[in-house]
Amino acid sequence: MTDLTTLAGRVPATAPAPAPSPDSADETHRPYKFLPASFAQRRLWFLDQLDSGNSAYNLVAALRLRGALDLAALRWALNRVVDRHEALRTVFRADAAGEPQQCVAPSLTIPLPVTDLAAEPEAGRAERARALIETETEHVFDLSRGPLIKTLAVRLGERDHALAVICHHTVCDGWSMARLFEELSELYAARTAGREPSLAPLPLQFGDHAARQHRELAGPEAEKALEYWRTRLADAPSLLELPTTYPRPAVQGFDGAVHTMTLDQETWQAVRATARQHKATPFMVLLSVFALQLSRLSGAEDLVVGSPSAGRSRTELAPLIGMFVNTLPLRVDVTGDPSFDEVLRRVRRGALDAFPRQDVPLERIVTELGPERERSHDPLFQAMFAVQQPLTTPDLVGVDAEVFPVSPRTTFTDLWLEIRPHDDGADCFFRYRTELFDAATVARLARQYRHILRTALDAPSTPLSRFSLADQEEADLLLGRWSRGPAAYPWDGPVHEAIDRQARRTPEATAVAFEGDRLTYEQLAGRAGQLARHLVEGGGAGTDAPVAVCLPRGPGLVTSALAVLAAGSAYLPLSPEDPPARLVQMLRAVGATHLLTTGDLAPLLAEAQVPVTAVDAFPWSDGPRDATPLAAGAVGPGDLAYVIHTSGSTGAPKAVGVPHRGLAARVRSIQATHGLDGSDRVLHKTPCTFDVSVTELLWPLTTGAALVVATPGGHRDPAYLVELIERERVTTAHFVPPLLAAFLEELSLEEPGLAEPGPEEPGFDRYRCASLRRVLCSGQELPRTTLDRALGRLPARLYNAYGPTEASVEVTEWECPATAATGTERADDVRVPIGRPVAGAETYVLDGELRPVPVGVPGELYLGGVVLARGYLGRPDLTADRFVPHPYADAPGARLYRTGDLVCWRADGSLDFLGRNDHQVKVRGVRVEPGEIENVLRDHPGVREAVVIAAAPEGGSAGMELVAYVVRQRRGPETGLGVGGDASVAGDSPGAEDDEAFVSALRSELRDRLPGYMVPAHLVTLPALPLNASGKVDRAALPAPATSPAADHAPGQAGPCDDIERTLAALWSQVLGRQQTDIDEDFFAVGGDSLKSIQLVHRAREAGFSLRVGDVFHHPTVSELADHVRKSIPDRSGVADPQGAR
Amino acid sequence: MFEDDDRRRYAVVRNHEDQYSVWPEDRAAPEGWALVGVAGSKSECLAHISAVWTDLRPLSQRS
Repeated sequence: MTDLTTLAGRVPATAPAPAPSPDSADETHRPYKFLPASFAQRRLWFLDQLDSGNSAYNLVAALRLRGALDLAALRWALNRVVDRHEALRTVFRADAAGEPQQCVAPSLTIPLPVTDLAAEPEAGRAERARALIETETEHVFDLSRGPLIKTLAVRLGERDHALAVICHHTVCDGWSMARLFEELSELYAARTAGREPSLAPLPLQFGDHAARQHRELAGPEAEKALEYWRTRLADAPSLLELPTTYPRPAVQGFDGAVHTMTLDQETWQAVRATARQHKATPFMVLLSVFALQLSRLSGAEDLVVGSPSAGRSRTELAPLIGMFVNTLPLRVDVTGDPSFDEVLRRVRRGALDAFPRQDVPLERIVTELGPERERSHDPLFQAMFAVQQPLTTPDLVGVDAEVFPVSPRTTFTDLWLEIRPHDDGADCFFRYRTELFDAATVARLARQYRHILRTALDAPSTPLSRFSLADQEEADLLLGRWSRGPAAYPWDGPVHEAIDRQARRTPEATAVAFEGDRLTYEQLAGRAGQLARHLVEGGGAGTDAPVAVCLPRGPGLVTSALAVLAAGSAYLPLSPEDPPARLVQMLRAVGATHLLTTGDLAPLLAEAQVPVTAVDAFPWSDGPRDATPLAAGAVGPGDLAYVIHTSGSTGAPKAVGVPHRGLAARVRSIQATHGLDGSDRVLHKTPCTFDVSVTELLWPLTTGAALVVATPGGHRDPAYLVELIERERVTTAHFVPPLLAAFLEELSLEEPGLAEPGPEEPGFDRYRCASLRRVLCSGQELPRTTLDRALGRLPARLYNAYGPTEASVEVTEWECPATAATGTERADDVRVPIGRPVAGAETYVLDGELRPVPVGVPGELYLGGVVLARGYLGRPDLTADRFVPHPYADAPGARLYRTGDLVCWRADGSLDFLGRNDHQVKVRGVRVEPGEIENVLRDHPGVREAVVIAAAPEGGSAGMELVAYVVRQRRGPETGLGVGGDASVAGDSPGAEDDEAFVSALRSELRDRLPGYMVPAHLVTLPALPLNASGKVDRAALPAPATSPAADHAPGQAGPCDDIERTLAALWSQVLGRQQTDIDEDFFAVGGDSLKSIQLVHRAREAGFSLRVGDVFHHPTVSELADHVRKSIPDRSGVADPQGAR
Repeated sequence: MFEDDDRRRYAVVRNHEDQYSVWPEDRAAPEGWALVGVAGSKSECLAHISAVWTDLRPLSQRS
């Protein structure tokens, strides 16, 4: 057991809790000295008020002391240091106006508790001591009571101790720690030698400095310096958007960790040499590299990095202990693709300009620029950089002292690179917020930093854009193992020949089932052969000649598709639901040589002047087949297999031609994944104009499986699909994610009273659609919530896949592990991977300069391999623009297709889909991924589907607003399946009339989970999302939002409606110094800042409301804050809202 | 590198299959791609390609 001894005898009583008035006294009956708090102290005090109980601003310094240590002398010496420095006896209290004051205690005795580990096994002692000190460093100081310094000793052996000094940052800084140890040396030496210590009296105390700071900052010099910062930081980006491992939470925490990396002596010497050549300092060189890295990672060419300056430019401040350090927001401009040399010049200039203005406190700059309103991230900067000098160790007589490294598990910034040079090079400490980054990510960032540094030192004239973020090892991994799927299957003929072979193996098996009709394999192949011969004999077929098939879904469509391929032509599916004029245009543009359609449709398309065959009137002969092969002639791998239109951004549909090579490869790779056989029944329901329908239709027929064909239009009807799947015992089905969500909801609605079996229990027959073995998803991002619901409600294996029309159907695929539903993974891993490249496919994640981007960093997806389409038929310009030279190919002359899709590598080598390049939006200057917001919306049990877009607000003011469209979950029966928190849905009041309450609850949920800039300005409920023909969300068809809630009231008319609102509105007006406050005005938009928020809370508390500072950030309008007050004290008498909760 | 608002200069390049594309003029084109002697803005290059690339079939498909 640990023996904890308090040498000091007793812990001194702390000051009484109530805020002291000038005549109150502590236990020594001597009054506190009251002084204004310095600006830095105000800032730290505010942060402490905002997040009471955090230890992120604790400083620690620890020493290992080997030798005969006189603990009593050490304790005496420590207390003399406290005697000398008022800062160490200071606490903070708010005055009547809510302003923090320094309160200096006349005296203070601090204990030096000793933890004795000498009895423990020797091997683990140092680690135990380290852990002990780190835990003590997480001690939460009470700023109003103190003491704000804490010391402890650990006894590791007879002549071996560790000493730790822990201070709150309000009273100490890094330099102060060195001063403290210096004084400690002299005091200890004097005490042990029995002589008087010789320490020069302090020229002033910290409080004198703070008072002078207040005077000086009111003067003209300070105003000029402040003007410099105002200009320097004008329009600076508010958030550095690093590719984080985890999404940014609504309210940032302080949990941190450190990754340490070493720079060798050679690198360090090169840093110094480069610095000398440029008349710069190692700090400037190393900061330039950091800025370059941050810029490349975030895509920002303008960034701000915080950097501490000592804040002791006056020599008289040198011997003081106190919070002098000031963090300077250094802005770095890397626009125009500068060379590293040039970046260094800019950084040097910026640092030299900033240095003479280093005394302007960060708190003043933050207040001046007024950006503090988000609790998700710090104002001005979120990354910090410093080059620190090594801590000077005290020279304790008879004791060998060295630094004892400890690393608190906290951080107060997102990413902080601190570099400490030493005799053998330098150590780089990457301190990071663990709620944003994981250890592996930061380890990669550190390697990346070293790689960029070396490139910069070797070739300083390299333009920024030419720096590779990935070192050779990572680039090899990304470009080699990860980007390339397994080798493509060797060409063994086109897919219709494989179907022909299957038809000869299983002629009697069912190939097509449609509304009670059946076609056997023999019948299908026979009919397709007849139609193919008809096409060839009619002269309309041949290599690369597109033959259009415009038929409703049914056996005729299946037969026709096969016939076109067998005729050696390219299958061109057209939707009979499209307007005839559009169909005519497409037929003409692509030069269709023949049209297979119905007798009814043929006249509507006559204008295209394409030879027509009415398939519904074709004289099939279903007699036994002869030995004639299905195919009319040899088809080569480069011949076009199909032509499918994809909508272009300019409106005109583009015809993509895909060769047989790719289609055959995909049919084989998808079969390798799923292994269909004669027992399988595959649902064919995908509209024929969506390329997934091509494999959906042909692949099963190469395996002996049966195609279960959904009725035309049936693919939009979840109830019909449930019924069809059960009636036809379908084993395999493809869904686009919105349809899957609707389908799953249908399942949960239909079966009241059915308890859900756990996935591990036998008895999958208790599920609806129990015949389903596999469900395939692609076409759009698969939301995690849809995946979880699917795994909970279906006995099937679930696959997510990705592929643009410009490739042969899917190019990546991923089996979603069943464990995803158990919630064992991080709940905020909201994305479902799209997987890895399939056989024959190559997937590269590249930046704007076509370089591989590292793991976790968003990049554009480029595709290569045999899966590529030939191009856009009749559009050589578009083809040349999108199909570009392949810089990483094995074979010369190969092409890459640039998809316009943003993806990133996961650490396991699979890909995450992040959205369309052109869906990325900027709101309040911050890049926002709508998909991230959609995921949070869908997580809400009352939400079935959600889409978020950015739209220009009505009235045409600058900037974009986020609009969220949600489809509410239909309420199931009371006894419905309990998946996805349906219980809480039942708790919501049902019906459409409560949309307003629902939206309000949803908005509150979003505020809890998302950074403020990601909370949509508008939330619109829709009965259903508009879908296009392929079942994907049609963003263009979303209605414009009604006027914003804030605009419901004309200015000045949004008066308070009850006593709570009246009181709060009055307090706002007082604090903000204005006549009147509307209840929907945002505190921070009308002049509120951090200190005013404290004053507001201070006054609100006096008025009897129980509020915390954070509440103002979370509920920034009178009406929302009033709501919050009502919820926290529902039974508050006297001021109860007569209308009840709003 | 192929952004639409890109102010770079591009060169028209062609491979052994007589397929065309564009590539930044100041960079060596990947192996297997030859300059055809036309350079300019991306839209100028693409306009040239529209005029000369009349058969989208790879060369090996045309026989």
